[in-house]
Amino acid sequence: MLSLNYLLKRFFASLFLILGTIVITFLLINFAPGDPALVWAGKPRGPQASIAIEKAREYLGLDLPLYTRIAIHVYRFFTGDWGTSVQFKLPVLNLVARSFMASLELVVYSFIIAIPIALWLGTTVALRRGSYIDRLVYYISVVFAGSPRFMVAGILYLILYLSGYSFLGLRTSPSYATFRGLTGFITIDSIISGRIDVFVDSLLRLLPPALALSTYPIGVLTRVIRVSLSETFEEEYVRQAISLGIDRKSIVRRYAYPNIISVVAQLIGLMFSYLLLEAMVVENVFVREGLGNLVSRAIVASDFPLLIGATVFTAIVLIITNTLADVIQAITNPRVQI
Amino acid sequence: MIRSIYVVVHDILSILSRTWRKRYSFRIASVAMTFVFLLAILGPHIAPYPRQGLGLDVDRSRALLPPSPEHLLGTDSFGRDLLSRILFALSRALYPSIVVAFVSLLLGIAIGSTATLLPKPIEISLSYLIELLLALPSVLLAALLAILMGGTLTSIVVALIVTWFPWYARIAYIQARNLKELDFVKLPLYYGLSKGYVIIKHIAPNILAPMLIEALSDMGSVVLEISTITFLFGIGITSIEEPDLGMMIAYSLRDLARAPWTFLAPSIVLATIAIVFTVFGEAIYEEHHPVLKKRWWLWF
Amino acid sequence: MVLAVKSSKLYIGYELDEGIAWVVEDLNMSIESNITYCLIGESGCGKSTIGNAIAGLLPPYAYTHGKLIVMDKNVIDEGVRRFNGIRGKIVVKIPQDPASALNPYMTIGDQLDIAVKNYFRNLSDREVKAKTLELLSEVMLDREVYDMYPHQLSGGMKQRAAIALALAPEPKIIVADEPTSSLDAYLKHAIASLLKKLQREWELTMIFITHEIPIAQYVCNRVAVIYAGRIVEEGSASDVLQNPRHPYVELLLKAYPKRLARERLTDIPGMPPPPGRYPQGCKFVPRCPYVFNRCRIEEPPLIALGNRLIRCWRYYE
Repeated sequence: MLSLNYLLKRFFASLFLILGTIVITFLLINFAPGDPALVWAGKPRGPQASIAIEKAREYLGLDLPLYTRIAIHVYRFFTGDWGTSVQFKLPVLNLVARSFMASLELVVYSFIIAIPIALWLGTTVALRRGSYIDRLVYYISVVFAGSPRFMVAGILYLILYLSGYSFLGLRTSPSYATFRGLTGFITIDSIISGRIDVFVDSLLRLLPPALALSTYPIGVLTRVIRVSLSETFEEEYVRQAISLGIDRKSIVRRYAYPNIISVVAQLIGLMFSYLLLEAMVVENVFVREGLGNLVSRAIVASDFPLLIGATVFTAIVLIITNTLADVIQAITNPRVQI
Repeated sequence: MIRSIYVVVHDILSILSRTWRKRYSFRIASVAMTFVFLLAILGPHIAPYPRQGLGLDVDRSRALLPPSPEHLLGTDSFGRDLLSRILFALSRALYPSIVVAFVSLLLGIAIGSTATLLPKPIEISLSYLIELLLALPSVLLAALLAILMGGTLTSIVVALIVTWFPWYARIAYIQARNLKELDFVKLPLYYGLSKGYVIIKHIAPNILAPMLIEALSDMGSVVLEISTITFLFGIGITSIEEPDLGMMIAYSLRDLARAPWTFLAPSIVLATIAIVFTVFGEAIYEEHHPVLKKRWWLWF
Repeated sequence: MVLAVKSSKLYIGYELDEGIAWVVEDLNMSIESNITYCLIGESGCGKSTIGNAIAGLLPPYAYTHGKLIVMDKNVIDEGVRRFNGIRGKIVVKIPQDPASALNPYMTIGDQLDIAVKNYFRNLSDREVKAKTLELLSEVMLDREVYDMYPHQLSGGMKQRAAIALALAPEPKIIVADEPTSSLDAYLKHAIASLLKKLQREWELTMIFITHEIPIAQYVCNRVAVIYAGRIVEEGSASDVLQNPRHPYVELLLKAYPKRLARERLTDIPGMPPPPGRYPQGCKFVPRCPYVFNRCRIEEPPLIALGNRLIRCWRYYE
């Protein structure tokens, strides 16, 4: 059951992990092979190079003692100064956050699509274990989950393209390019500002990549739900409920489903990080803006600060998600005494 | 030492043979896997157009031909035979993934099992370090290292090892912790035998067998991960001519509507590898953790 | 008088690698309503299977022959089994391990509410809760238990909660499968008394499965002793348990310590035969102290001896 003690423990654990991530980035920036200032400046060439390198050296404070540098580094991270992108000349945090939101929107929608489908499929086959449907769904989910996401995305793109679907590529059509919102989720922002046209457009462009992305959680969740439900059905108290004559639907709904929430929540937390990376792939195929796009361009331009920022941001989100998943598990499992 | 090796090999063989006997899917998957390995080794030698495969023979007039008797899978945008390209790319894909999987495995077992025997503070910090590394996204780390170390295959391999070994380390740590409570590990320690000896002789052999099999199964995911990284960022290769599954797919997207086979062939190969390795691992897992006890679902 | 349970030539078996192992063979049982009927026997003798069959809980992969009629409903008819009509409404089973009967993720109150609501669909939520609280008081549990989770209750309280759950659909027959075996000595008596009281007040037919003779003596009106899937002696509790006729029952009673007596406990040598490997002739031959020739060749039928039925060649005239 949930207790303040547990929450505090998890909170500090995740804080500690975030701190560790920041320390790792510090090490990578300052102790990687080569001149840190050169790397931080983005390996510039040309006439302005030495100026850029000097500025980087100043920023990193390489002549200061180690402890001061660590303190400055940590302080900067917590106050939002994550450096300036070499390529875009903009603050790293803003760039990363915006692109991250784009990818996050994709991931969230893929979960919204995947969870009901996986639940329905998983329940159906759990109730019919050993039948043809069971085997069929199992192999389909293996194929779904195991196929490379670019293959699924490419096939879907091809099909839609050939059938004349015009809402392919980008998050919104170019005519809405100036639309700016609060949250970074175009679908939500457009509704908040009352622009239904933007909403419809962005939603239609969101669905195909989200669908492609959802194949992974569908594949994994269906199998897990199938196994967990079967295990629950074999429990003695379910047999007792059968003996009492309670009907199948009620048993599934009130006895079986609550048991699997914790497993499903934990799995969603785990899948989240993987999905973020898969989202980058799908964005690439569907030519959408997002983290993948950002990182690709960063590599080409040797934009080290941007990459560090992206890595830290992603790591922090992952840590938070995993903590949340654990907390949900603690809430839903009354037997877990913390 | 020889004894431990014998025990591990025997464990592995018994697991494999039992799953082979019991599961149809496992047989198909293992045969397919051996086929994949064979192709990877023999590929470069049996490719019909080896020079095209390596990208040395480029002829634009042959570009984007659909599958035909001369080019079983067609040609790509540079006029290179797709089948040969894929065969070369296979071997290029499999070798790094073997390295990643098994180095991570060894590193993970080494760190995970020794962690249980070290003094408490070190143990806690090690487990904290492992949790930390688990939070790092592999693809982004690969991108980072690409800048630092130059975008070579080595940087990808290093990035993947760093993000993969914590998984094995965690499993090894938990298993070793359980084993530590058992007498046959406790007693040698009480008697003062060196910890290294205990690890190698007593702990490792007991956790090695299932983890080796898991590493083998994970190879499929590693291949997929490497391809994802090369697909997204174009790193890990030394020249555009070099055949790499991820790169091939990335370039084929341009001509997706005109020449879908350039996209489908390498994708399906990659998908097959990933799926086959996964089924291999899952069949073994299901065999050893039987869920189906009594057929209660029929009750409804 | 309506017979609660009647079986004729009932066989129940499970599939093994070598074929079908018959756990229950040629069972002819008549149980009147409104009594407590005990099934006594060692582990593995088939009494639980009989209990499961009556409660409608045979797994789908079991094999059956013969007939089983529960409250005028043809529950088993050769290979066909129709359990849906009796589960809950007529028969309910209380399992051996009370903890496993309760859903660990729901409060006791919630579980009882579901069970009650399932049968009395037109009651409002408040009425359902009232009924549940009534059930709790019947089994002598406090109101607070309504909001508690199973892991917060003691063993005895869990058993009572499981009994309350079983009473929710207001069944006519309750099959209690070793309800006291997992409890400590004091609780055994308490739960046994509770069941006895409930049987009287609710006019239930209680089928009490146990291997503990003192409890059977305390609770039961009629007793059937099962050995190797067959009834070997059946009669009123006082008759069978005070003056046993069948050698197995004799030895069983001798093996039980009687209060503070200092007599030596006799052991029954050997083990009961596993289903599927029953020897020819009378199944008790390997362990019977009164064996003679006929026992080894033919299996004795169940014959009437006064008010009881007995399966032993010694009483055959």
